[in-house]
Amino acid sequence: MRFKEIVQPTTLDQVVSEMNNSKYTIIGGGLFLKLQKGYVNKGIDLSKLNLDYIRDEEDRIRIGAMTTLRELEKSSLFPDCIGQSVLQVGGVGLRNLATIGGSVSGKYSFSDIGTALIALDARLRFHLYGEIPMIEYLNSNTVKNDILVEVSFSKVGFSSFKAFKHNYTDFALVNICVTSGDKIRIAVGARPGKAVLIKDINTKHNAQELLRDVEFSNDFRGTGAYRRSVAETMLSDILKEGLFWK
Amino acid sequence: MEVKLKINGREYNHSIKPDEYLLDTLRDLGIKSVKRGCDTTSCGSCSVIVDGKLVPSCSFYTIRAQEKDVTTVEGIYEEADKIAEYITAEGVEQCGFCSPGLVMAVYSMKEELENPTLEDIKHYLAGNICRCSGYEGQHRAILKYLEVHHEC
Ligand SMILES: Cc1cc2nc3c(=O)[nH]c(=O)nc-3n(C[C@H](O)[C@H](O)[C@H](O)COP(=O)(O)OP(=O)(O)OC[C@H]3O[C@@H](n4cnc5c(N)ncnc54)[C@H](O)[C@@H]3O)c2cc1C
Ligand code: FES
Ligand code: FES
Repeated sequence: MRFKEIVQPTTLDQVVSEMNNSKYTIIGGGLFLKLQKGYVNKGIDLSKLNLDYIRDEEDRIRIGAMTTLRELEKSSLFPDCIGQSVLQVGGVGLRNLATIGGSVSGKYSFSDIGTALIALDARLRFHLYGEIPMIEYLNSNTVKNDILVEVSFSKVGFSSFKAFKHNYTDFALVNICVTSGDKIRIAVGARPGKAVLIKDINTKHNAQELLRDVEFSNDFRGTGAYRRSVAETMLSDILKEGLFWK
Repeated sequence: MEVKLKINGREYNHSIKPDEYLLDTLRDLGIKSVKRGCDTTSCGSCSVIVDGKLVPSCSFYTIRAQEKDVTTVEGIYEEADKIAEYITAEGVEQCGFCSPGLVMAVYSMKEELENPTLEDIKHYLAGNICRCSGYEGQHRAILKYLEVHHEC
């Protein structure tokens, strides 16, 4: 995407007034925007808003929207699944630029961090709209023309993320994340549709039974049947590794 | 638009397009070690260091580089020479197109990680694609380089 002008506001109010003035696109890390075609009058760069932070509160972790995937990878504050989900997203250079805000706002169905955040029951804070559960944001168009400011989630006991990739830094053929906090949550993404959350988990069920109602389909990376089979194997491995599953 | 940049310790006043990427600016300024491989953040051949962080310059807006220190191979010439010595000795380089990006990534890794293992090295360099070498030689060369120069 090309821009006639890029502005670098230093407050959220300035961002809003820039949004009111002409056709615009918000720039996070800018990596996916680079791959998009088109010409927009104004790019609004969020890099001067001090939105790159990680806050550890008593029972919740808050992440500023401009925090990069590399910062998530390097922090020891997170449940395991966060580091595991960003580890194979491109190389170090890419992760030094890609932001959590851009990864969530894009609603990318292939997203690795997106699947982990769904399993963590993450909540999003937008500047104008306020808070919304991420799963609701993904499945609706409730929030429009807004600025994602923060992503947060409650701390959990066990968590594990796995993705199956054709090569080390490729997009996932399918990915899966399990967390156990007040409840057990399983999210499956890159099906290739967007991530879904499996509700009403019966802990006596095996991986095959747990994934029975999840829809997997075909694309150039693999067939739905292949994806299902890989997802069952990954889930089965996670269940074995999670001692909580009793 | 006019920007002020600090590249390899030297200050530049330069005129850029508002949405210009650092790769184009650097090459425009005659800093030609920086290569365009994929132009989609996938290959690492355009890697530079901005304020201590390895970034793909093909996807880094030049306006974001203002008030920051940009380093390319030209700015770490002596260290680059040492890394290149090991790369050459292992017969890793064929066309050499990926080498400046690889050298920047190795330099950045050495700054960031203490005593990286082979697994750490493979992970850190996963974003630097080489279409000629097959990587085994690269890893041998980097392990040997780090063994000798880890103290620097
Ligand atoms: C080569 C390549 C390989 C990749 N591989 C993987 C992979 O294997 N797995 C994976 O999960 N991801 C992968 N990604 C995606 C990457 O991790 C990021 O999700 C993606 O680049 C978007 O993040 P960004 O910060 O670059 O966002 P941008 O490109 O800046 O923005 C993306 C979208 O979000 C909007 N936006 C950005 N920030 C905000 C905000 N704060 N508020 C409102 N709207 C906002 C933008 O307007 C745009 O529409 C890859 C990306 C690339 C370029
Ligand atoms: S040219 Fe920048 S990553 Fe390939
Ligand atoms: S030596 Fe040719 S791409 Fe690496």
